[in-house]
Amino acid sequence: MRRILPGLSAALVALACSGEAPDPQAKATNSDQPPDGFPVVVVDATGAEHRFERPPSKIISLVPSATETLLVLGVGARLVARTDFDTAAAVVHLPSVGGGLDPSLEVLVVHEPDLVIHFLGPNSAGTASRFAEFGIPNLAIRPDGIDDVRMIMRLLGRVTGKVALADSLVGTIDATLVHVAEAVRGLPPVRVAFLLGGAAPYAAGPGSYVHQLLTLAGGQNVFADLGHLYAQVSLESLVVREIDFLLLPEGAEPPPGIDRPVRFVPESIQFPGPRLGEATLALAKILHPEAFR
Amino acid sequence: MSRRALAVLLLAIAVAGLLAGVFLGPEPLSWSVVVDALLGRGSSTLHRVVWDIRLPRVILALLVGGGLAMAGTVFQALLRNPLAEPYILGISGGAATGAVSVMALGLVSLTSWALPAASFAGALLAILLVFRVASAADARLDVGVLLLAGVVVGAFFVAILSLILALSDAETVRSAVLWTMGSLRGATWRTVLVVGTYTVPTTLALLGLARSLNLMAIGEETASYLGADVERVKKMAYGVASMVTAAGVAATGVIGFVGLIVPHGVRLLIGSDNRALLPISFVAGGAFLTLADLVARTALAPAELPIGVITALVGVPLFLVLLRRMVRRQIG
Repeated sequence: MRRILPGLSAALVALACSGEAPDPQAKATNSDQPPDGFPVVVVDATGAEHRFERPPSKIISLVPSATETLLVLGVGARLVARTDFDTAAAVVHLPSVGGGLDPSLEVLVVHEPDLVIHFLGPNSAGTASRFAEFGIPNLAIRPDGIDDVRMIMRLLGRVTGKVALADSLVGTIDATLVHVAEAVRGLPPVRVAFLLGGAAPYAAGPGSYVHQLLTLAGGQNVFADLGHLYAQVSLESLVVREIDFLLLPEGAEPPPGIDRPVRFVPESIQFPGPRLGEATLALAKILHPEAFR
Repeated sequence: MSRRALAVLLLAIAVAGLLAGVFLGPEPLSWSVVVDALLGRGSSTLHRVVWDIRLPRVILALLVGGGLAMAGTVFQALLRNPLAEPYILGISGGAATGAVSVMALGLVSLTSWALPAASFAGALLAILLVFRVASAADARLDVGVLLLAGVVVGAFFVAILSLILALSDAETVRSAVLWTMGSLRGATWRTVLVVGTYTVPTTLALLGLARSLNLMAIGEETASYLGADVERVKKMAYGVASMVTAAGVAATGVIGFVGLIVPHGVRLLIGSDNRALLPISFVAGGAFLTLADLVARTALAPAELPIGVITALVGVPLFLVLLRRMVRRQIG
């Protein structure tokens, strides 16, 4: 079981990424008959209802984790642009619209997308109102916790007409999470802080998927008392609190002058998408190597 | 350089900047495509890119740049201080505090109007507070007190701003920092209409004050002997220049250096007669911001640079060259 699950998820990803040449639903967009299961009505993170008569055929995802999900759902061929932060081989050839939070409206509009996936953040009302002004269907998402990630995958599955694939993706991730939780069950929790790096570090707090994954992987977040998903923490608290490891994403700078053991987590931890299970497994192996020998 | 020649040159640069802003953008479109789009021919998407994205943006740049440069000119004349600029009297601090408050409270996701409305309200609060303090003693407005009150009120708002940011999450901090660097990305015809409604009448009002501001440069007492209603001029100048700045800051965030450098640059070229200085500064500021925005959205396209970076990076060396030339001429 332990060996099979990650392998299975990799196989699923490979299978799905191999393209969507024989996609009956994509062809159906040419006829007047709505494809199976359509029209669909979905609710996005703003609580607004969005109706889709047929699966969108020109998609722009401004959230890299959602881009990964769309690739796994096998609709990569429907993506017409990417952001500067999408660097996967499957999308890197696409033209970029700039940053995901502040894309160039002009470049985005020129691609005539029939679906834009965007992050619901402090500035998104302005962004969403521009999309509405240009008649571009758009869905706001917020992958804060694991539940949000599951919901987003199912949401993307419904609008693209890939419900079954989305369900199996969620199932695969859940199976990996269960597998990891079982492997570390009964082991003493390792006290960790997940930092985004830099001299004035931001730490992951409760409610964030990182916090949830840490807990699942047999860790105990020493910043479980933060008031935000991610908030700045003092260097003093890093010195005073009892910490076994500082966890940082690969490539990030540990805070200067803090004499704590550092472990680097693979970059997949920064993408709350299909690689969530993989990231949790990697995290568990860092925290409890003895459980995976 | 003669005033007329400079005015013609700057107008030509402004028109060129406007055209460049419409014809160039992050998405390379050939000039014939843009002409077709302007005339309503060709694809409806490109028509909208040109009409609803590029055009409102260049016009907003002209209005905001012109407004800031003129407000800066007025503040320098009113406060008789070369360091004066539109934000010196706490307007940017007030506006930023308003903007960041709604960001931190999560109200920004409700409506696209929350952010400009809150920053405008913050700016107004700062303006009123400074005005009340500066005119507290008697009915007279003391420009020395005005300057001091403005700087202190500004510092107070910055403290509130920092407090809010210290208690906020990473997302809000990022948005706030970007806002304080300024951007014209939010330009729509509605923004143009709102900013224009403020800028056009206030510009005319400030032009009407030009002669009185000239007299005030000699000294308030002399100006009143020469027939200027000094108190009225001061209050008008302060109020009207502040309103232009507040409208601009609400629409685009804090765009620095335009209101400081452009008035000085124009003054170095044509002297300090406000009757020429005010309109020419308006045109120069508009042209400068239009070109700066063109660089901001094309240099790293499709990513956008904060426009404040361009105004400082380009504006400061340009200004230093002018300043050096002027110093040399005075010595020689």
